Amino acid sequence: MTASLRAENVSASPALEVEATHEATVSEQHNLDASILVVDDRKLQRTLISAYLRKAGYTCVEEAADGNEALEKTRQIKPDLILLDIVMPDMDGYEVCRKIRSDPFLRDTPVLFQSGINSEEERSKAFDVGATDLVTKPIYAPELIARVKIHLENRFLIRELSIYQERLRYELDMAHGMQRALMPSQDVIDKLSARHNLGIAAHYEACQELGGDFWGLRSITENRLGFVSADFSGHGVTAALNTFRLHTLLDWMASESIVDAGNYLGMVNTFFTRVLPTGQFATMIIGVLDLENDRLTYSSAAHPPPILANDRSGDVRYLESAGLPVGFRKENEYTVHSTPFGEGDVLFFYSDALVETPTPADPVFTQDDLLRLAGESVGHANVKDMMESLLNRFFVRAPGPLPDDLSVLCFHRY
Amino acid sequence: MKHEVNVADNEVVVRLSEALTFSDHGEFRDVLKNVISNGGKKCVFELSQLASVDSAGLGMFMIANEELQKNSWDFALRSPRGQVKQLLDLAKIGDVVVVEM
Repeated sequence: MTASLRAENVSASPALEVEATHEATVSEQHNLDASILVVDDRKLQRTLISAYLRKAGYTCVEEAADGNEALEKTRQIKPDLILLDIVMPDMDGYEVCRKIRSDPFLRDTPVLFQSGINSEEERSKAFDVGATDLVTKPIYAPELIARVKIHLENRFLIRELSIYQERLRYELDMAHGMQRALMPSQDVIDKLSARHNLGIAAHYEACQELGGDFWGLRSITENRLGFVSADFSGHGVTAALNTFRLHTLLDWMASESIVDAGNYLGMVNTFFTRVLPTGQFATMIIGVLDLENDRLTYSSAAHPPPILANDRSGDVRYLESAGLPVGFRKENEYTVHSTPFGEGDVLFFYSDALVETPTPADPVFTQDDLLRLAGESVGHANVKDMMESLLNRFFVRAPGPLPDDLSVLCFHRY
Repeated sequence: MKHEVNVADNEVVVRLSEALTFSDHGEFRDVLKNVISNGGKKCVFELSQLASVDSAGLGMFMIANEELQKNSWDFALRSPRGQVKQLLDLAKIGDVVVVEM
């Protein structure tokens, strides 16, 4: 085979006339720097194909004379494209291609088979073992160059896309971490729990994208603890950026002003009505647990209704939470609600994902389910177990990724 | 979301059905644009067949309210039921938009 240099397999060198007829663009120049491995057991064929490629402007052209050398050079130089002969002694092109496709570091390399075999069976075998494309002999240079060019373009496009996706995934992970850091850590929760002699548990789970949930705590005095729970409409970067805005705004507002929950929520609303475009808004609940006078005081802007249960009497009920969402109308006045919050009381705040997963029309937890299960959960010894028992039952019914952020905040008077 | 538009006595009635969610944003905007470009005095979103709405859908009602008011239209939401009514009540939407029961 090596000695039979069949002239009919080589066209009358039109490709040697292939000239760079136009100025190479930046991306074309990038492609011309690509490394190409030409594999053929016949020297004349290798030399000719390499000459075609060099004439077309490709400068990094390597050659291999058999299957073993092809694999060795592929592993060594990691070419951007391989032109592979099928019929070779020892190891044929099919086997070389199979080995390349089974190597995780090389499997994406475009492999163009070049062969004089024209039977349909052989052609389909080439694709079965993983050929990217076929160039039939006799090699027609303009066709060869056109195919090489398009497969290199695809190769670089896919590589750029992969790099972009990788970067996006990294940035999204970073953003998730930054968003989680806006909310109190377990260490802070434990300290506040000890300071106020109050069981506190929280769960925050971002959806795959970034989300718009936020919650926070403000220790005003030993006997008064402020809280905020919010959910910005939609999800993604916009909703997430709004949680950063809220965090900054709350940091800037005096902690003790939360005692006047209606006015505090009104100020937050005024700010967001100014900065949010129509259609964007937040549901929010802001309030204070007064542990000296055993009272909960709060104002709500359309946040899902909180649940108040008692671990001794077994009573469980929803609290009123209707109110214009934050961002709908400036200078809105919010109603202040006040209710007893004494020994054995357990309070649940949550975002709408708990009652709108997978869809608002057909949720796994209806409001009735939620009330019943919250009532059952308060039989557990501590607040963490109460919240976990509720969430476990939710996740059993709603496995898989969440469509929206889920946050739950739970307080328990011992 | 599915929709059907009927015009009678200068009132354009957009009957929404199924669910109004984030993914309907583009179609909702197109419906709104068509309503405004065809002219009239009052636009009603009829919701009796709308099974559910999410927070993005609520935002779309606010966009419709603003766009129609800007073009000197009257705007109303009519006959919300079930989850849609619950959400509109929770958001006290009646404080900023006319809701006809």
